[in-house]
Amino acid sequence: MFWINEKVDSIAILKATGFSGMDVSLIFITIALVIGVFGGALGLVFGFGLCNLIDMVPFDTDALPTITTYPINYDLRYYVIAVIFSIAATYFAGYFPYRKASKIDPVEIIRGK
Amino acid sequence: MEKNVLEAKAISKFFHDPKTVQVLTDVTFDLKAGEFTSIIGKSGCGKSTLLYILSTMDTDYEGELYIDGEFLGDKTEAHLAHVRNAKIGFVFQFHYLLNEFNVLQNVMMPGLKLGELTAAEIEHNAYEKLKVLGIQDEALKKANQISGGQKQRVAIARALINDPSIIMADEPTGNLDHKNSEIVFEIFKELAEEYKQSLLVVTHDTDFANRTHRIIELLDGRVIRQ
Repeated sequence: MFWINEKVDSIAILKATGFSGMDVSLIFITIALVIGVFGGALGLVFGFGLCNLIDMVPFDTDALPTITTYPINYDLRYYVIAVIFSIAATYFAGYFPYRKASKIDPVEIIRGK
Repeated sequence: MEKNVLEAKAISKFFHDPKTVQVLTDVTFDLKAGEFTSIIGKSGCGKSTLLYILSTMDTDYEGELYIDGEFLGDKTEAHLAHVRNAKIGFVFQFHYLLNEFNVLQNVMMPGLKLGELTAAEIEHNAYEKLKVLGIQDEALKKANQISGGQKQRVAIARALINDPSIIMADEPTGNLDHKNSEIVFEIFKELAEEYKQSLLVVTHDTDFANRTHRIIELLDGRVIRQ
């Protein structure tokens, strides 16, 4: 989450005007989780669409006479795992940046220009 | 007798990097409600360092600090953030607005954080503050679409939104031309005299300081005049 580096001025301002380190962390965690949820949902829709297309691909083999198209497993469990994975990934990818954001010393930023 | 909005008792500060240097020595003074005070001194005399201690943002110091009679030396980071939110309005040299938001939203931000009024009431107050500062027409512009002088007035409106006990400013005219510096001075003077707003301004502009009610002069981290 390189963009936290671009937001140090904003973080310093928030802190100077009364937001605590915890408040700042919450803002960034919220942004990350929104990205995770929307990214995950988008991934599910695309994934499901792609599976449908692949499901129509002809698949003939003498070994499996009942199967005529490419076999797809639509088990709900895989979709749940995918969503959990996407949210967890964005949360943990952001963990160190949140810590950094919450520890930014506004004095250094505001004086340092 | 007017009550003290701020008391500093024997404040000392050391920088330890690379070797220990004492930047402030036994700084003691108090500010009464409604006083318009400036802190002056040469570059490096510790005046900005002092302001950041008084504003509760720098907690690494010795001595005692009281704002509105409340001792702040043993408070948590979250509590100090609340004190800044409710009691201190800050104006910086570089206007520091949030560019993602418009002028009105910038002014409202500390009020929304404090959460004592509804968003509609805060918006009404924000418009009132912008009117006092003569920039209500810019309310819906993005923060980066207005001039430097206007940005500084927006920052002052933001500092006022929670009706703070004291406004602290670090070189508020340091980045402005003469005309805009005059405007900022006149606003501060009006706030002090008509609205009884306490103000503490760090400046190297002696012309500005000479027109405030009281001057605290620092030399090498000590108060030499107040």
